[in-house]
Amino acid sequence: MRWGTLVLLAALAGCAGAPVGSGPPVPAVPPGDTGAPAEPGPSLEDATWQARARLEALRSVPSRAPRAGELIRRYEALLSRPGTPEARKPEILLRLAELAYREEEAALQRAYAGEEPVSPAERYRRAVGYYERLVGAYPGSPQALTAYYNLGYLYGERGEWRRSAEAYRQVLARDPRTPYGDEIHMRLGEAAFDAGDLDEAVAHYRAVAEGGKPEYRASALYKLGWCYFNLERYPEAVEAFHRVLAGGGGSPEDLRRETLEVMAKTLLDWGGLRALRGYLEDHPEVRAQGPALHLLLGDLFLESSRYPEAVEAYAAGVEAYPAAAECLAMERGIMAAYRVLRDVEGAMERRESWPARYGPGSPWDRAHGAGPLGAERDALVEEGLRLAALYRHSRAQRGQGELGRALGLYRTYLEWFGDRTEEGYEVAYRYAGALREAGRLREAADAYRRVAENPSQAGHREDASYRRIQVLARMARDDPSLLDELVAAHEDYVRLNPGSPEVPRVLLDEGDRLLEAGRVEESLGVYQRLAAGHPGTPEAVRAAGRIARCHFRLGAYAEAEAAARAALGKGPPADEVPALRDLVVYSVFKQGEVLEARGLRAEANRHFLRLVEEFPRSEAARIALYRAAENLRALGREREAAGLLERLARLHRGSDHARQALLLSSRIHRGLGDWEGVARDLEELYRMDPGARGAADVLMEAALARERAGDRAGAARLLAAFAREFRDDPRVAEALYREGLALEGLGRTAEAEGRYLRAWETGGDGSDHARARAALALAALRLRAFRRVELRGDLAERLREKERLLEEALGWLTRAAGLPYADVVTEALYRAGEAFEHMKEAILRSERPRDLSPAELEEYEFLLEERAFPLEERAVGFYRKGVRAARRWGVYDPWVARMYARLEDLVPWAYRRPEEPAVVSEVPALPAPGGGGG
Amino acid sequence: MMRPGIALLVLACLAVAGCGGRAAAPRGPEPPRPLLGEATRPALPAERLGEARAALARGEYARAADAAREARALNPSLVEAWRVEARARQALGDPAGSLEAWERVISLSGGDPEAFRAYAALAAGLGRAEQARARLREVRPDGPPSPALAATLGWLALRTGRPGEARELLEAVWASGEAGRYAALVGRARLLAGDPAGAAAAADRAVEARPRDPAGWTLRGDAARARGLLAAARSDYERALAIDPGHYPALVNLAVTHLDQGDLERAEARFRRAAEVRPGRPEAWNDLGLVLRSRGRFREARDAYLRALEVDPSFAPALRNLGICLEKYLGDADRAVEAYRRYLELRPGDPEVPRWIKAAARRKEEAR
Repeated sequence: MRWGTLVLLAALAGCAGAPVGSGPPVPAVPPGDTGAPAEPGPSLEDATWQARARLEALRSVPSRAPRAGELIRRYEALLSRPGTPEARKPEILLRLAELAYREEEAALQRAYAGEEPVSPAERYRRAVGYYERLVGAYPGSPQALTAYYNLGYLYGERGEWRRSAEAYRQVLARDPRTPYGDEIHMRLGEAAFDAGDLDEAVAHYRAVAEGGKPEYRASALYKLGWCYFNLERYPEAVEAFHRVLAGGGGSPEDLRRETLEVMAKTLLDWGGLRALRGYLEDHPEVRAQGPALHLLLGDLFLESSRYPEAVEAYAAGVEAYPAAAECLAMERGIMAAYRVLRDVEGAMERRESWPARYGPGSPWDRAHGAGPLGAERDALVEEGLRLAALYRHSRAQRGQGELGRALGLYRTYLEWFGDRTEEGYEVAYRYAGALREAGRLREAADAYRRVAENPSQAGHREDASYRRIQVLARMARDDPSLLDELVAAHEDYVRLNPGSPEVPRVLLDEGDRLLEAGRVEESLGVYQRLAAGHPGTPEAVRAAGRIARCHFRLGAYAEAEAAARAALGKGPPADEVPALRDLVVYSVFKQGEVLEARGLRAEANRHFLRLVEEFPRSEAARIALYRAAENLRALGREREAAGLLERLARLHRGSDHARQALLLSSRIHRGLGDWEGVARDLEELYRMDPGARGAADVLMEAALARERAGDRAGAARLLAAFAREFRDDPRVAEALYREGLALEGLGRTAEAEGRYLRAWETGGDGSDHARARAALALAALRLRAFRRVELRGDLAERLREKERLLEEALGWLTRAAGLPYADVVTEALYRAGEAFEHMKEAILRSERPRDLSPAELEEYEFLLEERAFPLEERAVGFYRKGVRAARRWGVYDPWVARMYARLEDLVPWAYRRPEEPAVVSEVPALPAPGGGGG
Repeated sequence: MMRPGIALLVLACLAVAGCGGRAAAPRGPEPPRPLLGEATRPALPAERLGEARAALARGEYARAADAAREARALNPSLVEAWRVEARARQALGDPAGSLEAWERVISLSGGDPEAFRAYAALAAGLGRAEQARARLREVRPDGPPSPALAATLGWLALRTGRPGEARELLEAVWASGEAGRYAALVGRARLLAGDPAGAAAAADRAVEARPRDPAGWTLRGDAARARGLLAAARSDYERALAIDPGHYPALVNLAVTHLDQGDLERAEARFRRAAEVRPGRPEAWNDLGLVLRSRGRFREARDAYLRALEVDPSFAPALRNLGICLEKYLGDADRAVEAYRRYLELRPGDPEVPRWIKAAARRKEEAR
């Protein structure tokens, strides 16, 4: 309520008690108001008291009070009544003005209520009229002072500021000490202010501020400050406002608040933060207002779109008053400014500082943490930290920052706010991720575990469980001792996310890791759980294969085979089929191997051969065949063993394995003396690749085996092939020679002789021995013919023929002995000696002529002996030559032995030398007396 | 460690104790003083003999020998004293002293199985088998010898190269019911006397009586080999070697059997093993030479013969074989002749070797 209204009511209250008979009370003339110069008026307090009293009186007799119109008519009548004393007329006019005011005020209220419009010019028209009549007619009356005052008010209400000011001035002129002086100055100041006459306004406000009543001073200073502000006289404005603020409890709170606001505004225009700092330095007594001023200054900067300065002002406030309640608001202001500035980095930097500024133990926390602001702070910091951490994290993910910063923020957040709220849970999850990205896997795993195990939140449970597994898996690569924890993580996943479709995959992975670590039994258990608990899933199908593998690694090969077959029956993924088939193969093979190791070779072979039947082309089948063959050999079933090896060769024809098998088989046959088998295998080996390295050796060996098998035709065929296919081989002569032997054995002597001749004629290194043998063979052919010639019939002719053949034979023997081979030489010499002995015997046993007389026969016998004995001498000569050659060369072979034997018979005195072996014939010891054995 | 104070106290006590009238502390337990009159009585031979027996039983052979010597010095006809002394000296490694004592036992008592056996064995070991044979033949000049004496004489006859005499003596033992104990000896005598069948029977009895004695199996093998039963012989030798893998006679004779069968390789291996087991015996080296010669390794054969002669220069078979090897196979007539001559020194009655010497000289001429 304005002071003017109060004064008017007081006046009205005074009227209500006027002694006007039964009519409405007539406003009383103030005591002493009898036309004499007015005494100084009552104080405003007295006036208020009187006004209240009158108002109460009016309210207490409403029913008996006459209506205002009736009173006005009576007073008008009284005024116009001729006998009315002139001295009473000011009083009557004052009364009339008051009554009119009441009616017009009521009308105005109704107009405000929309009942009837009232133009400004019509407002208080009658009341103003009575007052104007009063001051016009009775300017010297005591009531004129009241009339001027009320006119000042009513003009003001009608918007007639100039007239209002003039009225107030009249009051001051008439009564400089009027109790309404301060109010009038104030009104005049406002009028001047509104009229833009700031200097005049300053004068009025200063009047009040300097000498007015205390209750007016604050307002006056406030107004004065405004004036100075508008005059851009900021120091004076600040000083005026400061006096308001420094006024202690004398200033109303709302005024102080408004003063703060306008002070901030002033400081804003005067120099902003610098001005504020200067002001506060100059006036330490208002330090308590510092936070609010910083806040307001920041707000003003913000409102005026001066965002950096706003940030600066807020930040300065926070720095200067870290424990101030306004800090939170300033921080919000900073955030708002940064938001508009789109300075995310700045905002985040600021948020990152909050834990230190407002966290537990900080000055701010000590001041407000336990109070209502604590929750506000928590909300602010929670959001700020969270956003900052997420921001830093995302930047780090883009390679624009250090992950460690985000980790620190996450950690701070979680230490402060925990992970039980939705936001905290999210932060904990992100924190785990950041740890993982930072390579701090140990902490990441633990963080993921905490997220997964969070009893309050479950949004990331499955993902955290899964990522924990991933992290531990990475760690376990370098540190196998973590396998137990990794396995536990898998188990936790399954426990925490039983309905997850990923459970089978996790179980499969768990099993795989255990299997890889060699913890086969445990992995088997996991796979079996998977297969039983999640049948029909692709992982269960894979688990079936793994189960088989586990059995295999545990040495349960029969179970492994069964499991692998079962897995194959479930339609495993295409990529696993070969491995499962292999597993079946190896399981069968291993069953055989185990039995083999126990010495149960026949039983072992059952599995090996089963494997061969089912998977004949597999590598294992090849080995199984080989092992089965070995077992059969160990069982003494060499021939069957060779058969298996030959089968192996057939199955893997052309391969190295086939070659090896055939070689081994041939050796078995050789050991058995089965030269036919040897030849067969080697021929097969040769046929596999006639151009292979070593093919010549194989063919030659095959031929020799045929030879030893007694298959002369086969031997001849192979040897002919050798001579044909390997013309440059140094063994061609040997092949021809041996072919000749074979053919000779077949009775094809002529062909044999041809081969011997070819062999003899074959040149080349390394062939001389065969050539020598061929020469011996040719000699033998001649000697055979030589022996067949019997000395009977035409003795001379027969003898010539025999001698011719002997000469031819000796020729070949000589050629043979001409080559430096001791065995050939000794044989040649032996055969030569033997031939001469035969010749001697043939001559001695030759047919005797029938027509000889006894004397002639005796003479004939003598001649025969004479001719025969030189032959024996020649034989002895060959033998002696032979043994000398043998002695010289240091050889001793059957031909040498034979020659020694012949010499012992032919020249016993020189060669028969019985040797004496020594046996040991020990006399046993004498038995001890009384010893056993009796 | 004793503290100085206590040590001084102890020394003081000892000093006080030393003042008790005794000159010095006793050094050991003193023998009980003899009673009056006993100390002058001379020791009895029986007592000394008892001491000797006790010492022998305790293995104190020197003490036993001394006591026995004292006993028989007191009473030279105390046979048991001589016996104990003989045993003790044998144990002490004094075969000559032992032999002498046993001879006295036999002289005084007429002999017993132990004395005969010990006496004969010691004499043979000392190269006095002939002496022993002569001495023992004097024991019972008028009557047939006891089985023990006959067996000992038979054994000595075998050792001195009298298989006929040995057989005669041992056949008597065989007939006396001591066949089992002396079967091996009898068998060897029969074999050396040219009765392989009888030897085989005795050998059977020997292996029956002592199946773990390799000598019995070797004898049986020798008998079989002498009868041409080479497979059986080989089996018996292998039984002997199964019992004692280093049994030299079985090794050599088995190798000779292999040689007879033309199994030169096995024969060589066995001979080499035998030579390794008993490098001081010539038989294995000689026979190894034969194997090597048969395999045409003449120089190695020559070396083997030389090795046999190195071991035993008087081993005639090696000299003969060496000469043959040199002459016939190595063409070294001079050295062959030298070997033949040495051989003839050992076996001057050999009818063939002188002709070989001539032949060698002739071939040498022919070669020129």
